[in-house]
Amino acid sequence: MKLLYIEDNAEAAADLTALLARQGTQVVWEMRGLDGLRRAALEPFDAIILDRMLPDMDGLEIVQRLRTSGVDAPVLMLSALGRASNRVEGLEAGVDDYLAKPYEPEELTARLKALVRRAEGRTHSAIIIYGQFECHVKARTAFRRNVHVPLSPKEFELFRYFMENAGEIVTRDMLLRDVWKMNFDPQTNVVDVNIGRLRRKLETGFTAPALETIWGTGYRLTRGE
Amino acid sequence: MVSGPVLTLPPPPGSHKRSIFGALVNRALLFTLLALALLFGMTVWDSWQTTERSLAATIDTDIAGLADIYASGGEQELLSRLDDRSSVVSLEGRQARYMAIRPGGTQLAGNIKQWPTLAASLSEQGFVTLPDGTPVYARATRLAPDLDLLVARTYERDWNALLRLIGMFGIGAALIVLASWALGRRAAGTLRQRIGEISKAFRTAEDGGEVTLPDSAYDDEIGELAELSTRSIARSATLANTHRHMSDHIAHEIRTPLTHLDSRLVNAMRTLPAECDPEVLERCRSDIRSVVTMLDSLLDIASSEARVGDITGLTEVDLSDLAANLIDLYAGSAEEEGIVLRHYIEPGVRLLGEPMQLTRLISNLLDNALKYVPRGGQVTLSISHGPVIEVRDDGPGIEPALRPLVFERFRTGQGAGGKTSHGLGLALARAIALRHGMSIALADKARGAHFIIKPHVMWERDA
Repeated sequence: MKLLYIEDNAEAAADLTALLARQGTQVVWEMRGLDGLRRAALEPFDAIILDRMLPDMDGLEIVQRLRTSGVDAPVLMLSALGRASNRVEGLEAGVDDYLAKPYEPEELTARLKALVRRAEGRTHSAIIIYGQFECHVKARTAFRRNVHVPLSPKEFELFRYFMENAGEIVTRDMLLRDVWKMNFDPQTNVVDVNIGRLRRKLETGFTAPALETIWGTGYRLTRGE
Repeated sequence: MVSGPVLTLPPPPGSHKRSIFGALVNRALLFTLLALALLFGMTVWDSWQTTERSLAATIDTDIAGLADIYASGGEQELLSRLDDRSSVVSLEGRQARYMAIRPGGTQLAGNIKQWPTLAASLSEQGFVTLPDGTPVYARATRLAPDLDLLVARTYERDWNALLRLIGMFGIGAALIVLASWALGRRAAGTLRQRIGEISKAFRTAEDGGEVTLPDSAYDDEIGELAELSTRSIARSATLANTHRHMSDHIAHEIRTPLTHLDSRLVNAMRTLPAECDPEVLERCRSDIRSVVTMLDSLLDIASSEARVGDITGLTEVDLSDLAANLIDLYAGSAEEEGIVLRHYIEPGVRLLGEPMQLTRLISNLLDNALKYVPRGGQVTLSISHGPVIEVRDDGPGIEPALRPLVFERFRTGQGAGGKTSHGLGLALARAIALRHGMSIALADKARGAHFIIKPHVMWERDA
């Protein structure tokens, strides 16, 4: 995977570049917004990580110029402005995802992978199968090793989201944003509780765990085997 | 109770049912019409009165002369003179008409064939029509016990002159009314356009656009209003931008070093020898997140408070759907905690607002309730038209000493299980309510807490 990272802070850039390099991702770093725009126009990238408050340009303006100039690489805005209103502004301006600093390294990589997957246009068939799990999208039913798992409508939405991101880390913010359409984290553990209830239903009658908790970040659907 | 405007979308431009300028023009036109009608009536009446007085004076002078002739020359002389005068037409075009008769009815002289209904014994005068159809002004008088005299003058030219006056006045009045209407319409159009420019500027400012008011160049009352409006809009925009930039910079300048610190902690944890416990470092990272959350909440409160009454960015929100979605999210948590979460949501409750902020408002109240209500307790969310949002619980409630301060920043209570917070949740809930033209209050309740949010006008109605 090859990423463009536009960030004016050298220390932040070095940290993130090192993090992604450890996972085998090539990162091209640009310090100025204008240089980043030029680089994005010249080379193809799988995704672009963009700081919002750059000295020469606003990150939101960069996104708009990228889109008008035909660059369609998914953009993850990585910003020190992390309030819900900032996220809404970013998403409305055309960024594909918005992550506030400081961030969990696992959350950043999970979101990048999800973005790239989405950009590659991987569509899911009417039945998604992963390990022992089956998700019948149209019938809105779930199975584990051919045994029907009764789920409430929202639990099914959660299960489907995990199946669409099977094997990858799904963060709390991703669940809040995509399943509950919320751009802020409630102060109580409502997401964990809902995941816990889904987990119990998926694991009833089986010994192998269905969901793995990634501490401080989120969850990952296992193959259940 | 803090008051503020009820947030509603402004009507589309030019959709007013009434125009003050149109009404002013119509009233001015009506006044002009009434004034002209009055002037017309008075002029015609006075003109006719003058004609009548002139006719009466002419006839009286004629009768006086004839009486002198009768006194000096006798009846034959009088009758002879009547015949002479019958053919006289005055300079005003009034033809002389006479009739001399015996009181019994025998006509002696004159060019009138039949005595009209005027009593000579009473010396009556007035407008009459002669048997040949000629309208005249006449006076009947008794010159002697055996001689009655009728002297008359035709007034056709006077009548025609009056008709000409009426015609000319009518045309003049119509032209005046038409000119007044045209000028009034034009003046009203100009005023409407100038006021419209000011309204348009406010709408542009609400949509976040830049505002310039060319009308402020005029040195008149509307020019002054335009200039004041421009200054006010510019000041509001500057304040909003300054506030926004300041908030962004504060967030950036605090979060950036915290991010570096967090990255160093992550790197330290990664390279920590296996025998070392990473718990201290994890606690440090947790503290960093806590500070960041607190900072965001403080900035959100400041941002909401700064935008009270501002409808920029607001859309129509289905509060019922939003609340149902939240119940869906919180139901599991409540059940896990052994708390009954009830909800009474009237369908189709809508308001002008920011969906995410309203979600956060209700979410904060539900978080607060679930945090403090012990196992076995009950939390109820109600949404009704108004809109009215209520969250009540049967938990330990809020200490009497803390109740007046509960919506202030950094006010925390100690609930069951020793759960604590930054004390910003209710302050943010209050700020969001105010930003949406509503107020939040803590109702008096014997047990538990009962938060009510509704528009200012509903509180005022209740008071």
